[in-house]
Amino acid sequence: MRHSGKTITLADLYERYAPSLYAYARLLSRSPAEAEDVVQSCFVRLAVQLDRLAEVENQRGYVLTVCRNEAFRNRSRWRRWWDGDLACGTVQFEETESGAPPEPENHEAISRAMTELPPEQREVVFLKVWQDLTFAEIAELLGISPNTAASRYRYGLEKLKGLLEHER
Amino acid sequence: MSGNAPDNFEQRLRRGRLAGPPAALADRILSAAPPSPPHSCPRAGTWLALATGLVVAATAAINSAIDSSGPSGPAPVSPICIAVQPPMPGLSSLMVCRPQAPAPVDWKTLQKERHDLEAMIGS
Repeated sequence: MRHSGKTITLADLYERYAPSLYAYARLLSRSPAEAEDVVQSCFVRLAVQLDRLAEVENQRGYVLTVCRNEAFRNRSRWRRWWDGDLACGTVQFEETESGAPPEPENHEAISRAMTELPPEQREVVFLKVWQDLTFAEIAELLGISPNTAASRYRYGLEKLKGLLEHER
Repeated sequence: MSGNAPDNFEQRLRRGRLAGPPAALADRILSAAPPSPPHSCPRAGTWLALATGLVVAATAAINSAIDSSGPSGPAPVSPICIAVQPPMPGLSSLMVCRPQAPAPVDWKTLQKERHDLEAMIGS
């Protein structure tokens, strides 16, 4: 596969996207183990279509879409756990050596507050804040209009802000 | 907030570094440097092979394992590994191992795993 004029191996692809995919999979999964399965399934799919990936303009958006589809597929495979909400997880932050979240934000509080958001807002906030996607990219990924994405983001962020202020 | 410009609150949220994937996940996904014949999987007992984009289920080995253990005994393989051989230069094969099962896998679970894997790759 070629990207930016350089041949890319699966290892390159993993290095470039695994952190994003894992974080997204955590948001879309109920457990770390489920998220790992989703990421693994992603790379199985990506590995057999690397040549096609080279032609994709928005490669990052594409791999995130694969991740979302795999999360759907994984969830529907275990129907007894399916409750209709895909974004059932939350954001997980790196822990410091002491185990305490670093200042100035209390990351544990952010993770908790994210679970309080409606799933559709939670996913948009996650994609905008921590995946750095534009509303147009989010809209394409989720199959909604950019205005809907922006609206979900605005409401989600306001609610998140309120929840975090309430915690202080 | 207007457009795509981040506000202060968003910038504060962004400061947190998201937890990355565990190192073991990279091992599971990337441990198949080419060439990677089935026997190179350290925990493998059963293989499904995907060659030139088509899934070929290596059911003989898994059936043999199931038969040898019988319907009531534990299957001798866990976890299940699959070999993927995408038709591309620089990557002759990709080995993917399922996570280690916490307990011995019985033959029914093994059968279900196989069907799940086939469905996952074949769909």
